[in-house]
Amino acid sequence: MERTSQALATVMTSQSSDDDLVTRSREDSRAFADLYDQYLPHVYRYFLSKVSSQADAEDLTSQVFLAALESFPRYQHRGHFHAWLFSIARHKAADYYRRQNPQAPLEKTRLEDTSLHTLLSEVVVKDELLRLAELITKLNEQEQELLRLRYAARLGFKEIARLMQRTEGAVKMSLYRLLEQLEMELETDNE
Amino acid sequence: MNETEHSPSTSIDVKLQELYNSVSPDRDFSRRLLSQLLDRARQPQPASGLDPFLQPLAWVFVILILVLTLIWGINNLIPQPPPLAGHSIETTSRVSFTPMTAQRATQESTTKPPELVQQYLPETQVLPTTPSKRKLSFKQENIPESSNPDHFIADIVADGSLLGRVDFGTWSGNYCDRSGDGSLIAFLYDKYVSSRNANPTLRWFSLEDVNRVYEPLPDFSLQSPASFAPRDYRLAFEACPSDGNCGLYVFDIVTGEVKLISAENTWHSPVWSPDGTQIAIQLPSNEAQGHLNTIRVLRIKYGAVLYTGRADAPDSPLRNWGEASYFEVVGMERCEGPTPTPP
Repeated sequence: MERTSQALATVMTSQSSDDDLVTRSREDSRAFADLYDQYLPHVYRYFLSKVSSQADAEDLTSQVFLAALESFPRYQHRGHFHAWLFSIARHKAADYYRRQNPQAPLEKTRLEDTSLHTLLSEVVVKDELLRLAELITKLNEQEQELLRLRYAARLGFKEIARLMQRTEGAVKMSLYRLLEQLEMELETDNE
Repeated sequence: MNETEHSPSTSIDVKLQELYNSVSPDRDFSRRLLSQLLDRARQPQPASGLDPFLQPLAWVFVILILVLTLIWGINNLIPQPPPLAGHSIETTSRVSFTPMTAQRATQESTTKPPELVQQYLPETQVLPTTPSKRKLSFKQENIPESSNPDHFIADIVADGSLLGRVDFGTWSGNYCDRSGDGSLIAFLYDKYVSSRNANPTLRWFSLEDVNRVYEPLPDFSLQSPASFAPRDYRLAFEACPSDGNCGLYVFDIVTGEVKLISAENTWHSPVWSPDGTQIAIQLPSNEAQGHLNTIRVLRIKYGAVLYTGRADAPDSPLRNWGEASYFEVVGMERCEGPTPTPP
């Protein structure tokens, strides 16, 4: 619980510092580097949990930041920089899957690759995390995306709701149900 | 996030955080990308002075430019793309666009009927004047059909008046663009989250009749967002038709003609020159050697390559294309306000 609170506090602080950074970045392009430092891990982890290789995750991460830099002068800051960055990331991911095989059913392509194996191959994984990852790969794409946005991208409920064009309450409810389901399945596996 | 947010189970929450955040970007990659971003942000300025040795060459260059300008002027005497049937796009009066014109034309070239019958027919409030020049908003509140979280069905509102309801497809599909006169909306329709056999297709509708949405090229799987020409109703996009002839296409809504411009498929939204005679496409990162702002400019008429290089280079045509020359289209942003028609 303490760890969760710390994570939430960090995100809250980053929200207010975002405003400052975005404002400064408009006058001093070097300040964009601070935004980059802050969000690079989130964007990278989001892609790493989604695509088939580290190289692809790096390529997509590069595309997102270069696109963000190019679009930045037209970005209207209303306190949603994090969500804006991930709207670019989600479009880049969609383009990536189309590029893999434009004639193939896209969801099939996506499901085969979206198994967290890329992420898991990068770390020494506990058995329990491995089982959790396997459970996640059995979820449908929307549920997996919800988890990615929440835990890899570290977006708030309001931002996820904005990205997924749903109400904040609906996003919370979906996530809570999903967590309960995962926990129940994990416990069943342990027994 | 706010402080009241908490998961029902802290245990699973912590495990998921551990799982998703166990890896950090490689340091070399991080530094390399940052360096590229800073390099891009600085945008090198062209040199202000010339070496005396180069001055004669500069005169030759100036003369060459004058000759090219003369040739360009002559080229401009060649008639531009046909004007819109029945009305001028510059007019601010009520637009008399007739969608049936496009419907008849496309029916000849495709086997499936282009018109889609909208399933959403809410009570539509008729505006006293055309919505073409108005700022639009797309609202998804209180739409019971939106059970799929990624499916975007929106009520289109202009100055507080409801024009109608449109199904824009899933989040990846709602790349949207608005014609230069503000009267037409085109978007990439996709439902790939919910259907295994879905392919993104081009759809468009007129703000005069939001309840009639057209899908003129059902056999074309779009690979990029569609982009309206600044002065007429032509749309440029990259697509793979069912015959596998993938490339950059231009489709004219008025005549129903679809034309392959280039066999290149770069996956980025094409950008039109202000006069509608050229198109820029962004090159894929492997060809651009990591610089995503590397572009190719093509002439529509012959598909000839006019320029390949950095978008921000001193000799890049995009430097004279103004505000319209950007590639990234996110969500519904470009449909909210009419794109200003160039003078």
